[in-house]
Amino acid sequence: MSGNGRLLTFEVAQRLYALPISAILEVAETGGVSPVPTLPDSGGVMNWHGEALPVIAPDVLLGAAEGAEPPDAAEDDTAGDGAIVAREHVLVLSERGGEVPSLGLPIDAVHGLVEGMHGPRRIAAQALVIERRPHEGRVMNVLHASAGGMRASLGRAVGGLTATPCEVQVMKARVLIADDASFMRQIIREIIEAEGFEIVGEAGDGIEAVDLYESLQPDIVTMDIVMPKRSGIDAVRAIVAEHPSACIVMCSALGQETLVMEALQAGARDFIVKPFKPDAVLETMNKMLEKKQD
Amino acid sequence: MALDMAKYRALFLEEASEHLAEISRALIELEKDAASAESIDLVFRMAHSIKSMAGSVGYDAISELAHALEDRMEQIRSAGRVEGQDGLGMLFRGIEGLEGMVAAVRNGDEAPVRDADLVTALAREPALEPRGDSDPKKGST
Repeated sequence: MSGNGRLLTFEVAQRLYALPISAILEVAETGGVSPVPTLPDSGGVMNWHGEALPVIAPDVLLGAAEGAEPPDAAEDDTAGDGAIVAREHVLVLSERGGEVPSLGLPIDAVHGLVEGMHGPRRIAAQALVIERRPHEGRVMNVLHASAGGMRASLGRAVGGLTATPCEVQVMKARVLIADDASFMRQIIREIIEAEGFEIVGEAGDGIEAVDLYESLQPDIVTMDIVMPKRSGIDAVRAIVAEHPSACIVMCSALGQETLVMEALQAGARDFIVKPFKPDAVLETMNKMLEKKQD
Repeated sequence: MALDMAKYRALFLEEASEHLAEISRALIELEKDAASAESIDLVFRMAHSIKSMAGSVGYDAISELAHALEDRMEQIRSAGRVEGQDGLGMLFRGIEGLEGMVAAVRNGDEAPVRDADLVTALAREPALEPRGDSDPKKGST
């Protein structure tokens, strides 16, 4: 990230979300940029480099957004109370570990921005939407992925971009589920998503589990032992060999005590037992999260 | 939190039926080649999956029978082959028992009746001795 860029986005965010300036500066330092105290008059938003941000097909993105207006609502509608006049920008904040193309800033810095406000928790911010409404002026919403679609969260600003914090939805950790049975993947997904964990991927065999770990870098993996192509224990060995701090929870069944011991010796941190008991699964996952944050 | 068991029971029927079909195909392969490591491993994994799925939705009789079949397949995997028509016949009996229970669920039975005789028969089979010409490490764990 160049040090010559402008931190316009964070300056806006500071006004929108009333973030402590220390959090802004900390994130700015991470990104290697300097804040600037101005908002553009054009109604557009620039990235850190002062370049106009592209508009990304908002209708496509919002078509899947829970609670968001259907695509038709993006059209001019000056007659309806509170209807959207124009959707100015939909900015995608997706993958971690890289730069957000539409913003020109590191996604980790965006996540850091939110963590500065809400503590060291993971978020899954997916899109930032700026709209114009007849009686509210400009409205800014941050959407994030959740079960069943995207949900408005984190913060909302209206009119002259005065901060109006609202529901905060943050995700605890990014989880990869590895199990050859989609039935078991769905059960564990339902249990841990309800607790605020974000499922970033599902693997159906041991080879896919290792590949997805490399590409997704999840915080926690739930790993079945018996899988085709490569067993869960072999997958643990491969992952831990490259990532010694990997947090892997084995999913074991009745009669697999010896294999569980083998998996723990291979580097797995803990295990959960099938059939899954929601409370026991969540206790283990939260324990893993606490250990990881220590 | 409580899981929506109706949803998962429907999903169980769908996935268990697919697994049973795969097991049937693998057993036909084992009729042709009793030492097919791929088929032996597949039957083991499918039985293991059915055991876990059935246990998750409270079908203990299915879980118990699938567990017995899984254990038997583990013995066969160690031995490297299915021994004779009797050995294969036992596996067919196991799969037919599972198919009957899954069909009962599909027909509205809340809890299939356990088949203690079949479970005992699967467990009573004598352990198979590894053959000199087979590789006991074949297949994944």
